[in-house]
Amino acid sequence: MHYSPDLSTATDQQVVEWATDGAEAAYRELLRRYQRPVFSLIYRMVRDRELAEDLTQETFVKVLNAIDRYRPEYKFSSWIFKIANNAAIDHLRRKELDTLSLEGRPDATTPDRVEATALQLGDGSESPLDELEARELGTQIEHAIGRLRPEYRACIIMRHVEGRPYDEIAETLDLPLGTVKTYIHRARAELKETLAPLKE
Amino acid sequence: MNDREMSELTPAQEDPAIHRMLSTLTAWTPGPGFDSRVLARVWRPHPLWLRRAEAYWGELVETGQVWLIAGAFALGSLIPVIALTALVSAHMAEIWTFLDWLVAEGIPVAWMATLAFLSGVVSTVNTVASALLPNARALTLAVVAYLVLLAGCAGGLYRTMSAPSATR
Repeated sequence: MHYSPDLSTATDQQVVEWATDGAEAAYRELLRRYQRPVFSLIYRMVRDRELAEDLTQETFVKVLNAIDRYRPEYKFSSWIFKIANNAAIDHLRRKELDTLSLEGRPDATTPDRVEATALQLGDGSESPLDELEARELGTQIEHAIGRLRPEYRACIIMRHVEGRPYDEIAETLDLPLGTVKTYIHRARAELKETLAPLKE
Repeated sequence: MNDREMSELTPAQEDPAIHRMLSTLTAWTPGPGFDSRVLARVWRPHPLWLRRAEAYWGELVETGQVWLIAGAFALGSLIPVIALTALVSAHMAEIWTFLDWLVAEGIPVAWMATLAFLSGVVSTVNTVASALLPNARALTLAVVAYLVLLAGCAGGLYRTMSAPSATR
């Protein structure tokens, strides 16, 4: 049996190895490490909190139930982001939701539904003025990201929000490296154009 | 800048303006109890040693070797029983003689020895008490020594019970 002296400093591979031995602490550690980035990615893609939570849950259930089939030559983060991205893209394809509206999803017909599907900005830890400015800025940026095509959106989020290297993004999204670079380049250009008024 | 140089740059170096803006975005978190909801739907494998044991057991059952092992185990368990029975049968006369002696002499002798020991203890205590009682200083010392001994035992017991248990 493999016992890790400190899970928080262990590599993903070590934690996964421990998880395949049935240790619940290792499962919790993987959840702790990846629930924020995976949920953030899915939430920005589908922009419905309840749905994002369901898809994130599906992603983790799928990953953790197949943990013994994980191949350590691949990055664990690539594997989990690939499943998360596929879940979000599949949903978007089914619902044909390509654009983001911060005021709620287009199919939201009641005020409750509009509120539920609108992105909640700001974490409440700033002063009211800072929070207002951050909310305003965050709103504009989220709005701009939401206008991107889903494949550009996934690439730019993984590169600039999650800080993933190009090869990992290509592996995660099953795209050639050149295509990923092109998508990110175009996404940046579109974002700059959309966000240009903010710089003034 | 070629592709390789571009790949080596960090996101912040590639496009500082875009990176600065995107890095201000909130990192969203799922609602409370998310971990538990996920873990409730996750099947955790048994520990490796148990899985190996299960696989080995399955192999034994499949190949029929399990009956061979069970038979060997049953025979192995019978050996001490058979040996003991043989030993008793071979020395039955000596065993009866010993039992007769035990009932006739052994038990009364043991009882008398116990009584002699107890009366010796009572006599010693009586002698010590008689010597100490007239001497107030010696009596005080004996009581203090007894209390110190008692406190020492209590302290040792407390330390033993409050010591952290060994953890993995």
